[in-house]
Amino acid sequence: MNTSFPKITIVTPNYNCAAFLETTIKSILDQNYPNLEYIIIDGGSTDGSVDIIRKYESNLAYWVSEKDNGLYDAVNKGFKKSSGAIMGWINSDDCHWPGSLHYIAEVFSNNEQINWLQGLPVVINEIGDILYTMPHAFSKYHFLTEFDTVNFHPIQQESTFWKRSLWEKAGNTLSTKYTLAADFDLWIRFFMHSELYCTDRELGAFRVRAGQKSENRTKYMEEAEHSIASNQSKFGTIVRLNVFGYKIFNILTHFSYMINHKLYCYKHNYRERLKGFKKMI
Amino acid sequence: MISIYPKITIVTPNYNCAAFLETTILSVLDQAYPNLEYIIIDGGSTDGSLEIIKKYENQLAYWVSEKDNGIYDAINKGFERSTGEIMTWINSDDILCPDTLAYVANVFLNKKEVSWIQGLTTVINEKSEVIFQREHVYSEYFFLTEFSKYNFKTIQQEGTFWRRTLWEKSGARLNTQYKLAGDFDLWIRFFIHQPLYCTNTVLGCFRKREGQKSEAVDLYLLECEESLRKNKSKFGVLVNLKVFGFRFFRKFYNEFQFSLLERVKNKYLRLITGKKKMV
Repeated sequence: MNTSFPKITIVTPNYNCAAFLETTIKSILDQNYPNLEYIIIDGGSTDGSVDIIRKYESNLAYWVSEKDNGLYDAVNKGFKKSSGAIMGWINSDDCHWPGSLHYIAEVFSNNEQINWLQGLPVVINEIGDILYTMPHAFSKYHFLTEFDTVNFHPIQQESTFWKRSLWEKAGNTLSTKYTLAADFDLWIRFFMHSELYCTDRELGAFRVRAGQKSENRTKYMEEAEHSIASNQSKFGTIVRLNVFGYKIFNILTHFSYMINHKLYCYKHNYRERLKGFKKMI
Repeated sequence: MISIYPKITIVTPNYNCAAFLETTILSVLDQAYPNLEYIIIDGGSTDGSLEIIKKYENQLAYWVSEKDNGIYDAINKGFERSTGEIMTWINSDDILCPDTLAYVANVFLNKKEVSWIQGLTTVINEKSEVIFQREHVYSEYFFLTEFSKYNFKTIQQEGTFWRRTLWEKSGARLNTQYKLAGDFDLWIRFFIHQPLYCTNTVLGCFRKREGQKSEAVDLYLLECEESLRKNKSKFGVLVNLKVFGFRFFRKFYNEFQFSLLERVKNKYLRLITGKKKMV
């Protein structure tokens, strides 16, 4: 067991999400992590969220309720006030797995080479049942080559944590020009500096509910595409050469499938001609 | 109206199938076709079949009850005694449909190009209710290219009629080396000489019942393959070339489907992606 607990910063942005806010707060505070810096940034909620936050005021490092420019602006504000060595944010409808903070502290203090860590991506429903778990997305090549295929799955933000040094190297801020895919943009910038490590332990869970922001998948993908296009040039020559090579292969296979399809059609026409016509009476 | 009735030969082989024999006999005799040659060959039944046959004795051209070497041997014996211009056999658990003989006589009289004809495939159960009907299998290419366990369809023997000229051209006998697929072998030999004509009229019905011989599909299929292999060379160069071309296409296509290029691409992606770094 590690004796020193590194400081962990968790930021929760909230805007009119009182129904799940308390679950989220409790999932973090109930872990009783001794060196926690928990920050809640409220966007001026009017649904009783502020009362819930006040209830836990004594356990919070900082909280504020004022108008802001969306989710990622709120997260940025929170991180600016923070000083923890390990960072992560959790949206006000998602939750942490019990014991996850202790686990993260142990992993980060015992493995110097790890700069960011992803838990098992878990998806839960409104009453907290596990719907499904996804495989890890662990490589930048997954984002650069398979982004527009059906195989693509993003890194789950709720179960991802990183060191402050990486955060500072990667620009120290979330890009507020994206309204949905700013997390995706952050991962791309993280990948330029460090490898992602994975664990099969559950760290956080994403809650699927009706009417949530991330339902708009098309918008998310558009923004993610924009992020990839604008960051691609910053990856090194080797990475870009590899991606280029893969794309050449992709085009060649596409052509081979076209030829294949032509052959397939021809084969079937041929069979029809072989059969001739049924001689009916 | 038909002015001259061509002679139709029907053979029924029977061995211990008294339960359905009378239905079969009546389905033939009740048609009251004026120029019918009906022959029953019994393999020495012991279950009361003989009494049934004796009941209709005066309407039969020939009948005998003695030991034989299986169903196709019995049919051969029957056809050897026959003289009819149009021929078929009907097994002792299957039936012919009403007015079939008149219809077939009409077709063979008026359409000189037809040498053999297939009715709509119909399967009935033990209570003579129709279970299913399906499309004709009408081309030798089906058997040469696509006939397999997964695509198992044959020409239904009940309801297939042919001219004696075709029968004689094709060897004038059923091959008794096959226990089940003797009919299939005959169709293949027919295809060598003449195309098959089809009609949507139901001519005969196959009765599906428990414990019957043709339940052993696997064995039937094996014998079919044997027959195809033996007769393939007799189909002539053109047919064999076409079949070869088709097989070539299929093989080429299947190889191409998961091409080398695709495999190299996936390997490459796995190589650059590297291994997941686990904690």
